[in-house]
Amino acid sequence: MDFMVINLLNGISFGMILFLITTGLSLTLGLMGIVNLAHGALFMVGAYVGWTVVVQLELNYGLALLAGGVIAGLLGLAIERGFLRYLYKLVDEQVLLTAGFIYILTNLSLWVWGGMAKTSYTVPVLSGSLPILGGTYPVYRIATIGIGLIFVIGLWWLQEKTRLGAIIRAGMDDKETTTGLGINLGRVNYLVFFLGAFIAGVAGVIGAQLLSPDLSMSFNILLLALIVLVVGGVGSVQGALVGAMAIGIINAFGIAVFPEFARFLMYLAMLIILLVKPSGLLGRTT
Amino acid sequence: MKRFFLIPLMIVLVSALILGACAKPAPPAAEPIKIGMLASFTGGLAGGWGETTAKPGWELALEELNYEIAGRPVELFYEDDGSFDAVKALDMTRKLVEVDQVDILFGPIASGSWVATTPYMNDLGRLQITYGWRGEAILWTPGQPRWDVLAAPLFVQFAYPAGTWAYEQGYRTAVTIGVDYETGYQGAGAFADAFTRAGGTVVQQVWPPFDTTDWGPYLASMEEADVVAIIAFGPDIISFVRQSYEFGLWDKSQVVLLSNDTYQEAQLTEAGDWVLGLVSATPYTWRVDNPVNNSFVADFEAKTGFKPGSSSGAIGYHAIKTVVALMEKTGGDTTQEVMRDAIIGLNIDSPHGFVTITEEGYALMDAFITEARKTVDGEYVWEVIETYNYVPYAGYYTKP
Repeated sequence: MDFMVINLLNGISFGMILFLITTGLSLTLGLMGIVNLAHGALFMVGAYVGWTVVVQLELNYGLALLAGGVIAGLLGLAIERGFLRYLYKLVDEQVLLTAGFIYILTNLSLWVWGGMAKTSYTVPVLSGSLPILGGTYPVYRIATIGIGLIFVIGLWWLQEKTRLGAIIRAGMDDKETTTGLGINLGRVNYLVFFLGAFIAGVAGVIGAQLLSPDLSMSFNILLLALIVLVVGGVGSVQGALVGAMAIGIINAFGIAVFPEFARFLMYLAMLIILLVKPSGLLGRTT
Repeated sequence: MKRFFLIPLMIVLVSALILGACAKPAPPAAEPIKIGMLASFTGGLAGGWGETTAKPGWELALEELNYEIAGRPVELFYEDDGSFDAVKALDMTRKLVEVDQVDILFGPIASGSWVATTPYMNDLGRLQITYGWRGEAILWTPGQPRWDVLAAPLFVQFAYPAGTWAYEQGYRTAVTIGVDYETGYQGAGAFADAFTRAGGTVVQQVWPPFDTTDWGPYLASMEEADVVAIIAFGPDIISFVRQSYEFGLWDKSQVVLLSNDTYQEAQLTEAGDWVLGLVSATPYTWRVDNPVNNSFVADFEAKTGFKPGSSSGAIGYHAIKTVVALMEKTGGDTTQEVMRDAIIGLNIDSPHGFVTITEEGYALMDAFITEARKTVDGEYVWEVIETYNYVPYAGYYTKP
C-alpha cells in the first residue's frame, strides 16, 4: 500500500512539473503552429532566476516564482517578436532558430551563473517532511502538486471560461474565420507566447527544488516535454495534464519495478500512442 | 708564430665540434614548454574540475615557478572539455595538439571523453596525462608502448577503502547506487567487493541512468540497510543528497558518497547544518596535513579568497608538480618518447602527499574517508576521519 501511495505521489509531483513545462509548449504549437525548442531553455532560466532570488538574495518564494516567470516570459516574447513572427508556417526554420536560442540562452546563463550546477534548495516554508504510512514524505513535493493544481485550474478556466480562451480555441480551429470576425490574432499570439514562456519560467522555479539548476537542464527537460506532448496531444490544457501525469506515473512505477527499463517505458508509451492515436490522448484533431 | 697558435686553435675547434655532435641536442633556452590543459568549465563536472579548482591551482603553481620549469619558460593553453561531451573533448584535444602544438597534454576529465581521445593521441605518439579520477581500468602492460598515463587515482582506489571502513564501523548490510556506466560499475563494485570481503552483505545494487535528478522513485523502492553508498556526479549527486535526507533515508542508514568531487565544501556550505554527518571517500581534502598541502592551502586562499575544494581541489597544482618532477627527470627534454619512458616510476611531492606513478601507469596515493563537519569558525569541511595509505588498484568490476 505504502509502495503504491509513495510512488503515486512521486509520479504526480514530477508529472506536475512536466505539465507546467509542456502546457506552454502545447498552446504555442496548437495556436500559433510554432515549434519552440527553446522552451526547455526558458525553464532553465526560470530555475536559475529562482535560485538567485531564494538562495543568493534570500528573498521570498512568491517573488522567485514571479521573477522566474516574468524574466522567462519577456525572453520568450523577445524571441517571438524579434524573430519567430517572421517564420510563421516555416517549421524547419522555426526548429533551427529555436534550437539556436537553446545555445544562446545556455551560454548567457553560463556567463551569468557560471558552469557549476547549483545546489537544489527548499524554501523554509516548504522544508521538512510529513509522516505518511510509517515513512516520511517531503513537504515541497506535496506543495509542488498543490501549485501545479492551481495552474491546472487557472489555465483550464482561462481556456474554457474566458473570452480570451474562446478566441484561442477558435484560432486553433479556424484561423481565417476568426480573423475574418475582426479578431486580432496577432496580439493573441504574442500574449499566448508570453504566457507559455511565463509558465515555463515558473515551472523552472518549482522544478529547481527537485532538480538542481544546471546548464544541461534545457535539453533534458525539453526531451521529456516533447514525450508528454506526443502522449497528451497538442493544443489543450487537459492533454498536457493527462500526458504529464501518464509519463510521471509510468516513470515512478517503472523505476520502482523495472529500474533498468524505466526510461525505455516512457519511450514505449510514446511509441504506442504514435501508432494508435497519433494526435495524442486528448489532442485537437482539426 | 702564427702556426704556433693555429694548431691549438684547430684542436679546440675540432674538439668542440665533436663534443657538440655527440651531445644530445638541447632545446634552445628560449624555447618554451607548452602545456595543454583540458578542464571542465561547463557541464556537470564544472563544480569540481574547472574555474574554481583546476585553473587557480595551475596558475598558482606556475606563478610560484615564475612560469619557468627546468630553465625553460612555460606557455599554458587551456580549453573546456564540456564535462561529459566527448565530441567537444576530442575537438579541443585536436586544437591543443595541432594549433597550439602543446608538448604535454593533461585531460580531458571525464572517463568517457578520455576514452574518446586516447586513440587520437596514441596514433600521434604523444603523451597524454590524466589528472581526473578514472573509472576505466585501462592499465599499462609493461613492455607495451603506451601514451596515456594517470597522474591521478582510479575511482576504485578510494571506493574500495570506503567498503572496508563501513564494515569496520559495525555496518553489516549495504545498498550500493552506481550511475549506470563504467565509473558507476567501478565505484559501486569496489565498495561492494571490500564490504563483502570484510563480512558484510550487499542487499541491493541500483544502477540509475545518467542524468537522474528525481530520486523519489529510487528512494521509495530502496531496501533497508545500515549503509547506502552512492557514486554519481554533478546535478545527480546534488539532488540525491538533499532528496535522500528529505525522504528520511538518513534516519535509517549512513549515507556514503563514493566520490565528493562534485559535492565539495561549496555544496556543504550551500546545504547548511542538515548535511553534517554525511560521509565521503576521497583522494584529497584541504584538511590533509602535510607540508606541501599546508603551504598550498594558504597560498591558494591568499590568491582566490577561498580554500581549495575537496577531491579535485589540488588537481591543477598537482598537474604542474607532475610536470616539474617529469622535467627534472628528463633534464628539461620534452621529446615525447623520453617523457613517456620517464613518467613511469615518477615520484611527485604534491598536496596529495607523496605520489608515485606505478609501472601499470596509475598514481599510487593515499585515500581518505571524510565526514561533513562544521569547524569552530563556522566553516563546512570534509574532515578526515580515516586515512588509508598508498591504496593500490583493487581490480576491475562489471555490472552484475
